[in-house]
Amino acid sequence: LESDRNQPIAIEADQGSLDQKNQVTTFSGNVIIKQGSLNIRAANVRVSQDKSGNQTMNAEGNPVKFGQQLENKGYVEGQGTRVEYASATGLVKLSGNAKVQRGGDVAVGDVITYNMRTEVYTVLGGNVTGAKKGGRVSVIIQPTTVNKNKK
Amino acid sequence: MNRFRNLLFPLALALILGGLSAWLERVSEVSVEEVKLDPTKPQYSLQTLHGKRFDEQGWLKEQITADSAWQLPDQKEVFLDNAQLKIHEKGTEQYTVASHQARYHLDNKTAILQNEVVLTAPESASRPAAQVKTDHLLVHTQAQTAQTDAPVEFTYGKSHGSANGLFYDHKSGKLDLPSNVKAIIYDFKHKN
Repeated sequence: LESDRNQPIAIEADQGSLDQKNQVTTFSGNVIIKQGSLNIRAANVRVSQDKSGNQTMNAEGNPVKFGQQLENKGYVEGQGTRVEYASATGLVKLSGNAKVQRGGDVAVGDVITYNMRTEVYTVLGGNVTGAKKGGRVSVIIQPTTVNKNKK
Repeated sequence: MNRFRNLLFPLALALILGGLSAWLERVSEVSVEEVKLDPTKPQYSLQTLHGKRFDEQGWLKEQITADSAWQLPDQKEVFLDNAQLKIHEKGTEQYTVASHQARYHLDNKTAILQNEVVLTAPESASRPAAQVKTDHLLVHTQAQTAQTDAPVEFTYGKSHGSANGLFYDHKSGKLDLPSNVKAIIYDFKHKN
């Protein structure tokens, strides 16, 4: 939800550390993060903040899982062994067996980039740097009529 | 409080004065016998302690207040009741530590604080006010570190949370929470 960004972030973890000088906060061990309707579960999360207050979050896990309520379009869930989020751009990048699902629509690939503002996601197959021949991308989009019946 | 010179000064003064008067009293007597003091009773005690220490440029560096302070015979620890220690840098307050009981080891330069320990750091241009509450805290005054294994509650601006245990290194600005961390984080910039 658009309002998620203005909500406080609730975090639970086994360990935590705050580096005031570099404005880096690290949480590790059963990390659960909630902000409004957004929720993330990961093994490790590192949140850094630049001078203008923009936050970057890097989460790792097996896999990292996240979910978020969309503005009147249902609920989106995603996972990947690595999730990167930048508040300045609103972009969430899932990599490592990335998968995003919303209702009956499913996208699977090596890297999936999800724009929280436009709610558009881009699926890339294979290694983005092109070092190895690309893997396949799989996207299943349910016909709108079927979607209407499902809601 | 690298060295509690301000604290030592009154203690040393008390010792010297005590020793001097004892010496003057005894100078006319032939033999001087050493009186073994009761180890359980303070050798001296001070009420309503106020101490300040300044750095080489004359800036206020450390400030200590306590309801009372005492030292047992032949012991290296000074006991303080309701003590509060303020650390300043170039006259600006860096942090304050307070508790109902405290023991300061003159050699190790460590302070053990017990019973409602509160560590506060005022807001500065780069960070919001911060506060940590716990039951007991070990402060290494020279290394400027503080640590406990007791449950802690902390606030950092509007953000707040809790954990079991804490290690804070003031020089590096790092705070480690070793277990059971729960936090609600507000964005300091947006002040929502």
